[in-house]
Amino acid sequence: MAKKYINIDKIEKTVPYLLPDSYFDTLQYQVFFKITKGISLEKKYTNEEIFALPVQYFETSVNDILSKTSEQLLLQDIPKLQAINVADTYFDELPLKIQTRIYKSKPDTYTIPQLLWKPALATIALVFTLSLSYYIYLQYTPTNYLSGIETNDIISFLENADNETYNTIAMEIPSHSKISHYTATNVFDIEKNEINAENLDIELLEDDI
Amino acid sequence: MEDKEILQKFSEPDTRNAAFNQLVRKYQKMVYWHIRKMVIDHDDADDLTQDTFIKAYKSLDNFRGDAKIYTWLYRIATNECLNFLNKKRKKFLLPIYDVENELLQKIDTAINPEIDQVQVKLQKALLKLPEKQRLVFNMKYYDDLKYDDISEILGTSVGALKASYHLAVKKIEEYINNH
Repeated sequence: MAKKYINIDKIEKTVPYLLPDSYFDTLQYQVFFKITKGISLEKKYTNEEIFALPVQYFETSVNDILSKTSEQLLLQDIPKLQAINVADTYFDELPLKIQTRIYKSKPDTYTIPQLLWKPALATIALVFTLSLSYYIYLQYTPTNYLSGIETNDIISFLENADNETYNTIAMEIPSHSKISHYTATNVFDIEKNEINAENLDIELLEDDI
Repeated sequence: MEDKEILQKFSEPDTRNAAFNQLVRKYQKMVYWHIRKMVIDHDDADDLTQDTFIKAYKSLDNFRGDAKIYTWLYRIATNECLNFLNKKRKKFLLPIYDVENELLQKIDTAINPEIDQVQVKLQKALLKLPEKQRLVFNMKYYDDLKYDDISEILGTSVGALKASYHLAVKKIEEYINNH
């Protein structure tokens, strides 16, 4: 058998808990007693004795309430009006204004040549950018950088350089086999550098001497 | 002309412009007043109304037939308003308070001078609301939109909209009665 669905709206709203008789009638005195400690519950204090009230509060409160009721405006009491003005002919002219702007603006539809040109131009631009980047990269490799320096300048630099500079150069460019080979201690080592005596120009050597 | 017919005619090149013209004529007041109540100034509202319809023109081809045109237009117009107010804030580096103040100043010249003072108070009270709450209030109170439609426009749950509207009414009544 299907279980009957009970809608919450059908359940009566009651407080299911038990409460002593006249609990709320005496609660304020109970609390007051606990606050003041020692005042007997036998004496029933009036509300005015317990709570501070502005002078003549009840004499004026009715008037206050009445005046507020009469003044209190609710949104439903206010008529729904279009409080803002607009020119009489505005809405007659608006469609034309909008259509004029649409015709003036760039079309969203493209012809076939336009559709073909757009990706082609984008590809050309991309290839150009990549080529330029690669060219710039090549220009700044250590080999190219050194090749741009005059041999005389390098010789002059090496003549004036100390051991520490040689070591630094060797450490800076470790991947370059020839340079890394010529450390400060072996750069003038003739045997190691494999200078072939047979290939030397004897006349030039004599001149040097 | 029914919306379906407008959409049908818009999809055909020969009747495209005539259909769009019908669409503008049918919904221009709705869009304009929705925007005007948000930005107050007529020139701003005019620009934004035109922008709204231009955006609609550009994307009407992709419009889903199952949705309602007017909620879709409301949505575009709402985005235009919010973007406009945000841009204004960013452009002048103004905190919310100052944009609100600017709109409050504009309202004095925008409102019909012969109108009841309560209406002026109501408009000023509206400007005290956060923008999204103002949108909810305007659409519910002035435009009598259903919560379901407002929910579709703003992308907010119906429950949240009801709470927002209820709060807006309270705030407005409080303002009107205290000023």
